[in-house]
Amino acid sequence: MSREPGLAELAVFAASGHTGALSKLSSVGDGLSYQAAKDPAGFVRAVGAYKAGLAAAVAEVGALKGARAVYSQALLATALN
Amino acid sequence: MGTGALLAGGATLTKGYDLTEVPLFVRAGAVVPSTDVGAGATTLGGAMATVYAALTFTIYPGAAEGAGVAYEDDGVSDAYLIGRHAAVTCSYVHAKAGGGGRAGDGDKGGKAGGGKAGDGDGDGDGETDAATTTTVTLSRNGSFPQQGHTPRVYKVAIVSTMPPANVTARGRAVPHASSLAAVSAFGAHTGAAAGATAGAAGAATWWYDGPSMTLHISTEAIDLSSVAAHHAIEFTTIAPVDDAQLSGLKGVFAHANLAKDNLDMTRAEPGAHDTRGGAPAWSKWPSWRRHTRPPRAPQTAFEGLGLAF
Repeated sequence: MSREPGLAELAVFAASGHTGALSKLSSVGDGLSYQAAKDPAGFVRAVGAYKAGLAAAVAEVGALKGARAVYSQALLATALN
Repeated sequence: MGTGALLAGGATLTKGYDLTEVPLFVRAGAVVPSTDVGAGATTLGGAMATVYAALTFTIYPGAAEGAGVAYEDDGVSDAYLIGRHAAVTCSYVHAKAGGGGRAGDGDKGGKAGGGKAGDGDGDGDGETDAATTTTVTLSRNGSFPQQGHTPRVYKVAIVSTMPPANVTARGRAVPHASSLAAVSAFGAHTGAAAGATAGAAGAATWWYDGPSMTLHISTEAIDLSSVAAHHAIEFTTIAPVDDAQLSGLKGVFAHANLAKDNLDMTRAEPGAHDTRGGAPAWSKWPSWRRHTRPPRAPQTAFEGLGLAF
């Protein structure tokens, strides 16, 4: 039976220093809206770094267990559709 | 939804989508006209409107140039048979800034179409590569009595592009908008309000929407029949438009948000926050529930009766 990630797993992530990768990736788009007019150099850097961000998010979510995690893993796996 | 990914034709594709997504495939470089379902619309999409209050042309990536046409007539009679109809054409050309001819060397990796300007090196450094200059031209041919000379707002959306360093329309600078809503606000759908639709004060404006990697440009209300030849919009991007680099990026952001939304339902993802405004769903629960599993609809009749198994 699948289970949802618990606090113990979150603690592992917190200790790994790789937390929040998915949050960061999901917020890049909104950041680009701002950078488009205010920070062109930052925009170019952000676009150039998205593959690393995606890889980090895939790794982060890939370490989670549970039905929801599996579904999110599939969403990220098809992100470059 | 569109992912902005450039795909080669002649192949069988296997892809995964969320239930909230509807796959949309568009020919590379196509220009697709549309009109909004605005407040006060009397028909779906204004499809039978005598005169569209506003028109949007969406330009898709994958070609150095292209065009699309929106056809109009009175919507009720067969007067179109005697020439009483009009067509608005939106055409575009991508070229390297500062001249150098037409783009098209960015095509690699089996993408469809010829690609926009840029050397395709994908480094995105914006230093040695020429930026991309795009010229969008709006023109109208023909007319019909009901059309008159009422000014109308035109919106151009360029998908999977870099943001502009500057935008001009008929030689005048177009300012950056305060929000996407300011560009998208066409106001009332029918006739008279068309003059006060673009931006807050009816002025031309632009906005770059990061999540969709789309540049939105809205004109002031114009009467194309009174414009000498055409209405030209021109912009130069902050960096070369490299189709290979931008391909699929829109889909990455969309799926990242869906994946995050999915995990946030259980607070499973560290540092969870709502990137699209508003409080996350779990924060709206009673405090005593925030440390428990999220609520969900009963999956079986038995479960609804507390007999889950």
